Amino acid sequence: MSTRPDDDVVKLYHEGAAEEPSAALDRVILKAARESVAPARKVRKPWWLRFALPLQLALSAVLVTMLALTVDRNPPEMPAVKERAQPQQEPAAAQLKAAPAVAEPAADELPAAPAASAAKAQRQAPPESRASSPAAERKADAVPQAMPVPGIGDRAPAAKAEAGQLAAPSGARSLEAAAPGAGDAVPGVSSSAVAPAANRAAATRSPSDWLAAIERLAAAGRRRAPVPSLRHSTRRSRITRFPKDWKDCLRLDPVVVTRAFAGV
Amino acid sequence: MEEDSRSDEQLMLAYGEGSAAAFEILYGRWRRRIYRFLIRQCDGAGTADELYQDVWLRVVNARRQYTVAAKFSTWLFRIARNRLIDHWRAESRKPVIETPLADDCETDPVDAVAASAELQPERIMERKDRVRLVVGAVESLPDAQREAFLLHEEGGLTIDEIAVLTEVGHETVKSRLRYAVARLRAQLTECRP
Repeated sequence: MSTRPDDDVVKLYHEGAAEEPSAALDRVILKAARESVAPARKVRKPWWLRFALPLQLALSAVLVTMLALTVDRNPPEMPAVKERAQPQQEPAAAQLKAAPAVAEPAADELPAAPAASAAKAQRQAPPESRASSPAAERKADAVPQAMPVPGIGDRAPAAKAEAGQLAAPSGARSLEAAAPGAGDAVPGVSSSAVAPAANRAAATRSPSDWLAAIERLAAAGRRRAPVPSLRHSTRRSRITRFPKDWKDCLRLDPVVVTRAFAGV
Repeated sequence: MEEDSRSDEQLMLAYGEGSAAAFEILYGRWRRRIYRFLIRQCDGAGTADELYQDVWLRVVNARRQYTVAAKFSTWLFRIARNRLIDHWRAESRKPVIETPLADDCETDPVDAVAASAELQPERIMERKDRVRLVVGAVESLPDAQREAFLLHEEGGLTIDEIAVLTEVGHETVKSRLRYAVARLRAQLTECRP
């Protein structure tokens, strides 16, 4: 036997069975049902997010191009060369103080004594190679005080004159003569080779020559006469300014220019 | 929502394929019946709400695994019944599934189990109306009879479907239904003025 639809008990039951779930319960269940279906659908990105990566790449390329063009059109003044050259002057001054054997007898007249001691390394190379070969220039670069810098030829005559004023005629002129036309060997650095020649002239002098020259100046009453020129010459032998024609130098000898740029 | 001509099984399959609207139709069809099936067998509305939500969430989670192996109502009430048994086990109450599987209803001891004193129709009659008395009478039925009665009246399941669902014989279900209706009728007769 089963219950019949027309059974009074069943009718009464269905009349009284009016309970139903609350609306909040319905919302929770329907929301869960919709959310379980939602992940199956493809989540669409905003349209502008599709172009995010290409836009980033294009923007980076534009920025790099603009930076390259700006640097190419406006080359920097290389202030770092000056900043790096100054610390080199300070050790040179310290060396001046630390050379009492030569400087004490004529303390204010011989600031170039370190240059003479440093130039001993240059004596190892033949005069011809010192004047013209890049290898010789690289060796000279190892000694900051006597480093010849291409492109400072506009000051080279002064240095040459100072060297001639201070140095004995025999040493300096013989060295200058030993490298005739060395600066002309390479276009663009014709006058720059003269300054290294003057430095080399001073460097090849022996201490006795130095003392003799000092004594001669002292006897002539010009004890302080060589000091400014020597200081000037010493200062000019370092890198104080990057040459204007640095591109030409770069074309000629990148190693020298790079070292000069780095302040080595 | 109720005008959809698709069967419950078709709606459930559509929901398994991602149609939330199909689920809403299906939910509208069965929400009251499932709720009443649960609330008649629970201690309170709070518990019924919790079980009701769990049942439908199980339906939601099982949407991909659903296959038309039986009527949707059978599948749905099986979920509800299993959840109810879990609740009874958690409450240390004897679940319906552990009732003796005797085909002879006359010797079924479960049928002789009386409801608690506060659920007796006499107590309910004192404070509630007639309709409410009927509902209370249903709630005071023994578990096996009440379950068979609710599955038949609320779920619309046939005797065979109830027998399969409750894992008892056809005759057992038939007897439980007969005794349940007889008990309700007797209680109503006693309580009528």
